[in-house]
Amino acid sequence: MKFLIFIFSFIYLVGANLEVVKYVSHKNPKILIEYNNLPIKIKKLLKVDSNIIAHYDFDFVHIEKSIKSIFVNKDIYKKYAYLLRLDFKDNKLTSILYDLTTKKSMMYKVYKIDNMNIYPFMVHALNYDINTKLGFTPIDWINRKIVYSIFLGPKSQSIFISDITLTYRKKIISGGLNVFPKWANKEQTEIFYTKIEKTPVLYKYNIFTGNKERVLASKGMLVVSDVKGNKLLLTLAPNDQPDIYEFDITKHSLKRLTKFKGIDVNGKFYDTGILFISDRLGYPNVYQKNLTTENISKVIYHGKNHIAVTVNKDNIVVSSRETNNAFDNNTFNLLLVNKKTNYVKRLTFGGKNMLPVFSPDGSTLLFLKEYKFHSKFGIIRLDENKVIYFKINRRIQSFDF
Amino acid sequence: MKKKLLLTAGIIAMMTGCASQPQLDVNNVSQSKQDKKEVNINKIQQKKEDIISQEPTQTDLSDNTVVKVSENSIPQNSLNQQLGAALSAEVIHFDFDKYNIRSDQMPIVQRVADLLKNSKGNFTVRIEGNCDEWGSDEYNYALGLKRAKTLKQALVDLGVDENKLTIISYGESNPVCTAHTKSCWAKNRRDNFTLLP
Repeated sequence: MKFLIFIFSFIYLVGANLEVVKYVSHKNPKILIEYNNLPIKIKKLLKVDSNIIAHYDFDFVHIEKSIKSIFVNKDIYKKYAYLLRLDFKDNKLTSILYDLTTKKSMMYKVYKIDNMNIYPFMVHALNYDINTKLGFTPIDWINRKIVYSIFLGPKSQSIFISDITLTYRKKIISGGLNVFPKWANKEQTEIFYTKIEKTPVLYKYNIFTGNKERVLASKGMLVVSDVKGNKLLLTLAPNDQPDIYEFDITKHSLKRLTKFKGIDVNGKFYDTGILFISDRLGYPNVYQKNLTTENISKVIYHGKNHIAVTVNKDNIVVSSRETNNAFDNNTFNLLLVNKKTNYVKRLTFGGKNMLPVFSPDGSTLLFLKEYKFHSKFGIIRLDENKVIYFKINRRIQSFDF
Repeated sequence: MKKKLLLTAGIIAMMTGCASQPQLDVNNVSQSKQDKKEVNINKIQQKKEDIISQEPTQTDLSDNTVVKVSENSIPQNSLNQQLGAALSAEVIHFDFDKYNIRSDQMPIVQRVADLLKNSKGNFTVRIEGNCDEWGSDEYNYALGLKRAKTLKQALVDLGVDENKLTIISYGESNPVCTAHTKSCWAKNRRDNFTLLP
């Protein structure tokens, strides 16, 4: 089965600068990769992927013979559970996966790309299939794209998309101040973003066709915080006051959800209502509003100062400021709280860790770590107790996954 | 004596030989300069008489003939440029994670209020709220907006027409400096002004 990937233009590629932190060590099954022709960058990315996935490890050995020939390195097969044969030629990656216990083929797939620039998606697709075949927990997130805005200078930010390892990158919006990009659909074909013109304007943009649609404009402030089907949660300030609003795209109707004279931002669809960040007690904290009863309650009592929140089912992750210093480095750490069990887990231990975003299946968390003069994307594999960082030599303002 | 005659004869001979050249008459040049002088003076005097003759007579003097020089006669563009330049020099700074106006910033607020109240004509001033790099930018956009709103209210309380003011927030996106130092962070926690076209 051939795998077709869309063509992109204006590609800017950077090799991943990988940092891995693993809290609990456990043995993963090992897969031996025997390859005939395999570009070094594909080999490197396979290793990076296996590190992030954390379900299996790769070792590599080159073979002169065809990958369809009989088994070659029988003496070393004992150390491995599986054998993966790879051959890359004419933009096609042929793969054969063997179970070394039964000596039987488990998978035979050919992945085709139209140009070498998009090879990262091919490698992720291969790993997705291997992971599925080996019966591990699903890793749909590995095929997803990240959309993010990069600070270029005062009143100048551009929007990029990339694969999860930041190996593939493409600029999609430039010129002026373009901020707060958000995926508009599960298929990741369109984004919402805010352009600060004379007033903030919300646009919807198709990343494949380039079609741009003006959705809404407002005075003061306009940010898409969450998307659920045809409904958006916005931080809006039509009367100079930032509050949470729900916007129905199809009906073009706006409904105010919070009324507070201070700051209400970062709304997330949750349960029968929303979660949001508010400074109604004098400092930013996470609150929940039941949209039926209108009842508002504080959600998290761990940490004092919460600047960002993300939620997946009963799991809530907040970025909590743990120092309050105007004149020195501050510390922001990520806390995971299960709303049902009240289980609390600290996910990071120092530095500035902000903007947590769950993958749709809730197994993986992306966040930003501010490090010296640039940003790092952090990927936390929650069940595998592992954190991986990818350095990006720019400052990221906002992102979505 | 003989030498003088010879010299004079020589000069006359030369002048006769250059019959095609115009004759240089020193005396006439002097005279023409004199004439010119006289003519010039006469012209000047004539001009003075003209001017004198154009001065209104007593019966012509009225308000219509006297042009008052005031602000109304200065083009609005020029006034706005002056206002814009004055506003661009004014900045109000805020404390970390706060949007209330500090007491030490009130003189600047008063100065801006006076400037706006004393400026005539149609204009709109945009108050731009900004933040340092700490915290999430969504929160900082809201914080910047609160800073702008607080300042707007303070100006309105001091008598500025609310309809002349609008606000916007740039969060962390419009820093005046990008060094990771306490002084730079303090500079970025600010409201500044833009005169809208």
